[in-house]
Amino acid sequence: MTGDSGFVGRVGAALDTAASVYAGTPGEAGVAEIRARLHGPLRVAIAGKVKAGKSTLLNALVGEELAPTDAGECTQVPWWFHDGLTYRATLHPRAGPARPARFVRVDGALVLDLDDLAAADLARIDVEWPSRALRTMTLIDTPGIASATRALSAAALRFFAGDGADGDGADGDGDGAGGEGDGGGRAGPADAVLYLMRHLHAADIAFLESFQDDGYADATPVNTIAVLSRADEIGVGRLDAMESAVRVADRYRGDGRLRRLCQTVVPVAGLLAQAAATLREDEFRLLRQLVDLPPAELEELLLSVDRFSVRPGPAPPAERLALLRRFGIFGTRTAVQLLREGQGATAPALATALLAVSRLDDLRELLRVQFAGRRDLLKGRAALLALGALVRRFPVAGSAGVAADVERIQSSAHELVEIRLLNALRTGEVTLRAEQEAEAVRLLGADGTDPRARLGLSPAAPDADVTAAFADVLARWQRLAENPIATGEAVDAARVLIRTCEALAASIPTAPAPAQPGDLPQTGISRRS
Amino acid sequence: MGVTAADDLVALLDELGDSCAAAGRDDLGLRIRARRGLFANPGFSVVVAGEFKAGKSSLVNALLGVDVCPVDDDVATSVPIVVRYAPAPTLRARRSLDDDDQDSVDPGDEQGAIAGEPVDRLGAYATESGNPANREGVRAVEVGLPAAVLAGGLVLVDTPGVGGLGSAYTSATMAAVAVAHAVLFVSDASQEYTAPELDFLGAVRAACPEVVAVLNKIDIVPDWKRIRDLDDEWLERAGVAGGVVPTSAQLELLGCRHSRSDLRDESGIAEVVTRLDGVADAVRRVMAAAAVADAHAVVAQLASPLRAEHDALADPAAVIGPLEQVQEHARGLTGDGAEWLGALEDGMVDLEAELDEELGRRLKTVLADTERTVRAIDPAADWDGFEAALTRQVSGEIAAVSARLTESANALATRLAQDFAGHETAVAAPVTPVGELAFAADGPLVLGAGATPWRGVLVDAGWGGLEALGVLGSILTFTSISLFNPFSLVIGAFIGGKTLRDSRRRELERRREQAVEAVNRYVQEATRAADRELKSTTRRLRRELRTTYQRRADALYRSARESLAAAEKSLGADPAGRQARSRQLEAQLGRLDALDRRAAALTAGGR
Repeated sequence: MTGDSGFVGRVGAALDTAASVYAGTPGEAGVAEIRARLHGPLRVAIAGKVKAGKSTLLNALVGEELAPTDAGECTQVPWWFHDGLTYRATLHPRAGPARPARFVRVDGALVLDLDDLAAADLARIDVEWPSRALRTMTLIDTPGIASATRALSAAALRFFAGDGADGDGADGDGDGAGGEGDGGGRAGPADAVLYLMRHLHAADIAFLESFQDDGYADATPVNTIAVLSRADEIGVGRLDAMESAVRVADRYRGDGRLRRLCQTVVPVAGLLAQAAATLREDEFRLLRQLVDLPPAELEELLLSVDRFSVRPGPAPPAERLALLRRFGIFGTRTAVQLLREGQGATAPALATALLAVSRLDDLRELLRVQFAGRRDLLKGRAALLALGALVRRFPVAGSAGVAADVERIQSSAHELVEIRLLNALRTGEVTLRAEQEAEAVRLLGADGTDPRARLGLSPAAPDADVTAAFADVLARWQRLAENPIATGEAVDAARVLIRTCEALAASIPTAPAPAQPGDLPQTGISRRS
Repeated sequence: MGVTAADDLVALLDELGDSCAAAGRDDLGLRIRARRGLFANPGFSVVVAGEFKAGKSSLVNALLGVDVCPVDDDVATSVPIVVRYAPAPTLRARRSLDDDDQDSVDPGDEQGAIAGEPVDRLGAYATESGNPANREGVRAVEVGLPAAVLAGGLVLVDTPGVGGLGSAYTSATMAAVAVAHAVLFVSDASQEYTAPELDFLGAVRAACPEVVAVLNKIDIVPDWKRIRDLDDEWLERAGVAGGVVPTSAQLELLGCRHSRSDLRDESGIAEVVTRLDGVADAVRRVMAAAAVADAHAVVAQLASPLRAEHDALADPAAVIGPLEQVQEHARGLTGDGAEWLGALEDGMVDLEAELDEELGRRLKTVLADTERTVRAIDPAADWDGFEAALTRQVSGEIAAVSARLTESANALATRLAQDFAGHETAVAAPVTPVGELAFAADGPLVLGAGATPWRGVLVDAGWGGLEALGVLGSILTFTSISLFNPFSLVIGAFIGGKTLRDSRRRELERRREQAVEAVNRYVQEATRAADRELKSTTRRLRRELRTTYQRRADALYRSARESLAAAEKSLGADPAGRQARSRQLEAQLGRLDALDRRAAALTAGGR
């Protein structure tokens, strides 16, 4: 993360100038918005096809069943969940001022009173929710794409086109010219995207491509992570389903087309993660009762969902069906298995074990390394794009100076150059030999921005090893930069990497930047019984 | 059609075969034997189609009651798998079909079949991992199995899923759908139909009207009933009758493995079988009606010399003149100058021209659209999506042309059949007066007013088009399935190396030019390939029709000659023996008349 604060500092300074230039003009609110965004938490949009499990995963990450989920299609408007001091929901209609909304919680999920508004009239719904998990990350639940209800898909595309982010200031004119040099396009409402999918469907590829090509959500391979979000269904609910899912994710990761569209692919059993993150005592008790059944009887119950909820057994059928809806057949089978193995003496212990099975923790770790680790950079970059667009939209006296600031930072910040190279390598715009490319991508922070991660060293490697490794790597890229028969683009890439190595090497004795444990949302167990 | 009626029909055909042999008419016997074979094994093909990973292969396995098709969480079916009845397990990988109808069969496959565990190697041909990018060049894999569900002639075709990244898959599936009797449209119970699924359903419905929707994996989805209701609404809007059948292939297979009827009852597979039986029944009716029509025609020809002789015994002059005319008529049907043959040849030429025109027109439209698209995008950035869309579009158009081929060829064959039925009546009049043969309108085996809807086309019951001839089963189904399969062309192959990707922004125009050229060459190649396959199919079709009807014409001519000869023979007969001979002939005619009436009764269901 070397130099991030310097970069963000420069962006902040440019925004300060802009604030004074635009004071009292129509652009003022826009600048204020961009500043707020720069200093606020990272915005992560959860995107994907209909029923990819977006709301479910959001709930799992927050650790509360906030976003409504059901078997049909339900999220029709982007929902923003951010940390705050009070519990509050605000409706942002397409036309007219924002207004507060009354809400109740049904089984934990928020149910809003839209008054006279239809879902189609809303640009977005804002939910302020005091939550430790949301402190570092604002989560955005987006409408599904490729849904049978075509209007809903349109809503999703509008969101990623920036339409749902009316408060974001000046990104609406859509000329997108500022994006050319950054390979990114205009600033969308989100800093990073979790793309959820059930399998890798052609529609998924098409959607990822369209929102990257058009610069929607400012999505680039660098800030997009693909998630196999209903991973347990890949193995049709068998106990070993997650192992299958890991295998499938590995294969997808190697797929050339997907590689150009996202950082990586990870499997998560979203429903199980949500249930585990919000496991209740009554559910725990019911699961214990199940395990007390004779094994043969329990096995019969677990053969199918209908058997589980209809056959005679402990607790009324309705209660068992409720458990099944929350955990899914895979979650229920897994919980029973864990309890049998003695891994769930208490509800929190079972919850922890289930979370591990769901692999939600792996996704959190990835978010920490990939997104939180370069949070300032991603935000600063988004702010620059937004500011550039604002200046073009509202030319006033002195705005030329702001535009020049933006230009200067964009062209000089090495961090942006790195991101650009990383994206170019991902998309194949720049090609290197395979082993060179692997090293380049790692150096640019694809596996983590920590110097050791960039070198592929273990986190415990002593400083001396790190320094030596840098010298070694540096020499290799210098040789390439001077190689008379290397292609122009390879030489350009080598020059970028040489600067990267130099900057990183300079930071070694002082700042090995260990992981910040508090950086990412943690999950609590909520008990309601 | 009840088992008894079917058995009776087979018995009748057998007796009729014996009568042909006794009369020394092997030519007519051949027709009856061929018909008996077709009737006993009509080859009712059901294509299992749907999005990838919806559980198509497990559904096929559940229907078979045994794990045959490879099922894996990751690896998907990549080549159509055709499963039909065989007394012992067999496996054949179809690589190509040349004009002589000889499949190139890997000798290893045959040995594998003898070894008895051939299906174990199915994955090596039919899955993405066993046969990546179809390096084996396999167009379809045929599996023979002694499974009860197949014994009635059901042929199950498991297809590669739609919507995965390999766009070539769709074309194979659509080609299979275009010639299927019915389609099992499989979706996964965990969500309602998505937009791509509904698009695909629309295409399937257009290519094959008999669609049975199946909602699989209900064993793992707590809210499957809600999804079923939502899907039922979509199906109603799409015009698919009967609603979706909820199934759990998993439970069925568990039930089969552990002989647990309770699990099999819960699996819903029995309902799928019932629905398929309903469609199969319609096909069997066509076959039964065709068999009865053949029986009538053959009886008439067997009876014709007997009656000629019998009538000539009474009044030779009244008989011989007309018989000479009939013989002339029949002679006119044989040889290369026959009128019907000319009509067939002309029809085939028209058909080819029509397909040619249709293929050209459709692909030209694709080409124009694509060129426009290429000019609007940066081929370096959008290539993969673009390429996938183009191949999908091209294969969709080719599937449409192939559906057109089926339809037009069917119409042609029906015309020919009707024409010939007229000739047969003229040459050898039915034994039982036609009035008595009127089909009872409400009998269980009755085919509307002599016709039955099949794939949206009215197929004439007695004379049937391709279906009644069994030609569709033998020619179209398996050529088309396999031939439109991996369209082994890759657009990228027309572009040198990685030019597209490597190029820089400023070379955008040059890149577009290259892309347009590549697309042009791809579409040209695709057109050529499709044209070749269509021509080869029409050639086979022509040969099949020609052979069939030439045989019939020859038989008819022989019947006419023998009738005339029999009449002339009676001229010189001993007057004393005339009465005895006459009674003898009447007895023989009576036996034939009884056969004819039995056949009529079968059709009318009057038992």
